[in-house]
Amino acid sequence: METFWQTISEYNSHTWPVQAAAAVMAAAAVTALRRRPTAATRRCMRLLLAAMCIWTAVAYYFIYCSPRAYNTALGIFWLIMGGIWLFGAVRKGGSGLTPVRKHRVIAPIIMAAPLAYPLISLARGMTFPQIVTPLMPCGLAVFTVGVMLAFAPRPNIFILMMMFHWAMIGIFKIRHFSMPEEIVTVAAIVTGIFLILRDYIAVRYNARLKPRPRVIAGIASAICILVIILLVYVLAGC
Amino acid sequence: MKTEEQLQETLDFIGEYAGQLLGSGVHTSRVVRNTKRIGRSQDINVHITTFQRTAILTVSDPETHRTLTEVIDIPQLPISFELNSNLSALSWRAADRHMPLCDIREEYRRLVSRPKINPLFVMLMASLANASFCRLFGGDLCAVCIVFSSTLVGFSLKQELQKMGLNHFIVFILSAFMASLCASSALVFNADAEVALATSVLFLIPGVPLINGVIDIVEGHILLGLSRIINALLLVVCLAIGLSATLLLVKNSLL
Repeated sequence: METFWQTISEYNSHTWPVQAAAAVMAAAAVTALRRRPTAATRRCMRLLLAAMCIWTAVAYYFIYCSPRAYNTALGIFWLIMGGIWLFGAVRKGGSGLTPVRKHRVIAPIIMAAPLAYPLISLARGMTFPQIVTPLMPCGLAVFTVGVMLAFAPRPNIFILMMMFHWAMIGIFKIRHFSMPEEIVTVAAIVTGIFLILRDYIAVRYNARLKPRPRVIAGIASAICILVIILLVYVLAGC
Repeated sequence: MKTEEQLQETLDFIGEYAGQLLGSGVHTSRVVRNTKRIGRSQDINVHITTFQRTAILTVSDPETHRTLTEVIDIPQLPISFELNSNLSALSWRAADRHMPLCDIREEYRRLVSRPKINPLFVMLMASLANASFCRLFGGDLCAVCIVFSSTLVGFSLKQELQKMGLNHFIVFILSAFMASLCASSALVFNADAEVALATSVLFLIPGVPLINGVIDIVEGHILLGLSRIINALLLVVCLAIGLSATLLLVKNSLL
């Protein structure tokens, strides 16, 4: 656990200007896409997500987290994620991402949730640079789900499932690394994915598939409730 | 007595029926029995020779000894036990009630156009099954949860790549790699990582082709049985390549 917080500390102290710039760029990209969803703003959002994922893989995992065991696998996870967004930017370019009016209240909350990490860290008595910041894998996962909720009427299920996996890891990080900040990660990702899947199922309500979409929505809800129960169970054990 | 046109019509239908059965995971002797049964209901003899990608079908009228032969392509269809069972039941109904060909065809169309299983449902159920396997093999809570989400990732990738029409061997390699890569996060938490890694790729085991291959060989359809087993083993090799890539990547190379 000591190595874990040591690597976070080094990462923050060396890269805080980049992190601040990334947060400003993310806010600008979201605002631009919300106000004027043009080909350029769509491509910008995809490229920004790709850059953030590749940054997380290379700078965070491969460079600063190299003293940790098994950093390579997690780095490759984010490298793949970055590759998907880059591929999307090249292939789809200026199409796809469109504001979803239905989630205009909840989506910004989820996108802004990573900003709560440093506040939680400070509230529990930690000091900079040994705090959780928004440009870390957990924050990036939450921001990705928020962007998909806000701007992806036709979401990519593979990316959603990768983020769900990150929420699952987050649950066990709470106990293993004494990291209560991950409660935000789990709550935001599970809520976001649940809402996205609900819309995904509703759009395909008349598709000739079985079982009925109602049943699928029921199973998805049950899984989300089980994840929350698991989170409570892990918290109770801490 | 059948006219040439009637015989051709029957041959066309039986060809489509046999192709549907062979493409959706039925072992050869069952296809032979079913097609012969439908032929009997129409008072004609049916002979079928099956290969991996094509089948040769011959129908003959026992009264006039007129014979027609056709080579049919076997389509690649998703495995559906329900459809297979319904199509078998159709052949029995056709034989028992001596149904006319137009009625059999109408019933066949109704059966093949029934709603398919929702891919999202298959993904969720496969993930639950894999997580259950993990528990069965002694995995702890952390490993079970990670295997569940890893299978969701692997399975969703498989579905996306299949939708894109990528070669299925490459699909298997990438899905196995992605599922095991995600499962390797169990190593971080000192969970039962070996069990998690091993069970995360179980959803890719080609069970139906393996079983059908063995049944075909046992029942004397050696050629098709062997080709099915070779195909299944190639998929297992692809799975192993994907899993090995993860094991090589993980720190200190676990392979």
